[in-house]
Amino acid sequence: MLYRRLIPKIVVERAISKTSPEFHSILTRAYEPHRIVGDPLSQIRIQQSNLVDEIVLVNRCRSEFDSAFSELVLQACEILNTPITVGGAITKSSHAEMLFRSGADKVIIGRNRHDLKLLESIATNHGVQALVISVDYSEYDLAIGLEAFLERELSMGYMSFAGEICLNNISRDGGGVGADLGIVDIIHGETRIPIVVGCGISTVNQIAECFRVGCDGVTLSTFLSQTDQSIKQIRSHLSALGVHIRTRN
Amino acid sequence: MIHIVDSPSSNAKAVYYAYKDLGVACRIVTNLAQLTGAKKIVIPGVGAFGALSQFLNDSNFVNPLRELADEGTKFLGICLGMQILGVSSDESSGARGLRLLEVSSNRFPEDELRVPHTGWDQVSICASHQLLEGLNHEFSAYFSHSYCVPVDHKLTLAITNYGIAFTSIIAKGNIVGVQFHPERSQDSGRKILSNFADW
Repeated sequence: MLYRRLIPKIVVERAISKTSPEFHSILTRAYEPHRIVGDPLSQIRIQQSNLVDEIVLVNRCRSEFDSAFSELVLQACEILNTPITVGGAITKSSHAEMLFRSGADKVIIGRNRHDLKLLESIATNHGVQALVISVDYSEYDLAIGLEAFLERELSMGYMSFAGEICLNNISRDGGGVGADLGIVDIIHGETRIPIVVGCGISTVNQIAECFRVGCDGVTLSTFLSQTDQSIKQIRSHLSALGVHIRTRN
Repeated sequence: MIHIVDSPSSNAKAVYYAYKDLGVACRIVTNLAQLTGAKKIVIPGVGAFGALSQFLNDSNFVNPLRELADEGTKFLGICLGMQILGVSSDESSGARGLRLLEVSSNRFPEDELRVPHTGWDQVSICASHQLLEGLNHEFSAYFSHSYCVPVDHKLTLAITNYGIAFTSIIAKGNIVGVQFHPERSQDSGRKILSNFADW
């Protein structure tokens, strides 16, 4: 039986440097930069020492794919012995290939999830299991009603190419009010693809609730920079709450 | 020296860095000439069966790899790399594997399970092998796949249950394969990579 996954999500942004391309990791609120929190590679080292189940590394670039990010992925893979999923303005299959060649295990497509040619190309060359579709939505998107929103999403056709669906209610990002689980139940009824949920988590009980409604994994960002518990402690806590979670390798 | 066969879809770098971290000499192989004299070959994962099969054919890797296997070179296939050691896969009908193992990969029964099988799952050892030395009888490893090799008691070294029991480690003579990603499976994974280097 698969263990439920705890997945630190490290969001990075290109730092302005005259000498070399550098990235710093940031915390976001509603997907907007909120605070710089340090060096992504040292954060990856810390999370790895806590035996996390997987790491998500996302480049928050609004405009276009930044090939310097693949260099950061390469540096991350040099030190990682845990799975890494990466994303950030992938608009061409060559972008995905660049990231896989840097050592990534999975890539995330968010805004371009409507581009079925892109998805088909990645799935054909790298396998469906290597493609994560990130559905990033806000309360504004939900104003049309949950069912209408989901109908709009499903009609895009990306489910056929997705190896995993990551659901992020942007309005909850950094807010600590818990993940949006209303959508998870309905998605479960529509697909057998693994589901990961993120945005808004600030307590271990909220994580446990995500797993109780059937999520396969939970991404954690702001929570990990604000809690006094390490991933190891969170894992023990979840195990005590009856969650099927890995407590050792 | 470990020779890691590169392909456009694979995460060969991840395996390379894992061996580098272990202090084991390794190189990424991008052409046939670099395979000369290879005694240990790793075929990494990530990809699709059809695309990898086509790449191996187009790059003329198939016959040299089969000849090296006949000569006793040890092979480790990882995830898709394990499946390509077999004959065929439901993933890409008509595509041929390296046919070093008489197995084929089947799709998980989707109506009952979440597919792909993604994440950490239990590996249960059911036969002894040098590749498994120093590992607990049961350990967890990271999987990411939609197709699997059925259990074959002559070949299966370890089993994982995901709705059905499937082969998570396979061996025949000088050929071994793991369905999970040892390069991403922390201490247990590193132990397997290290054991392959020492085999």
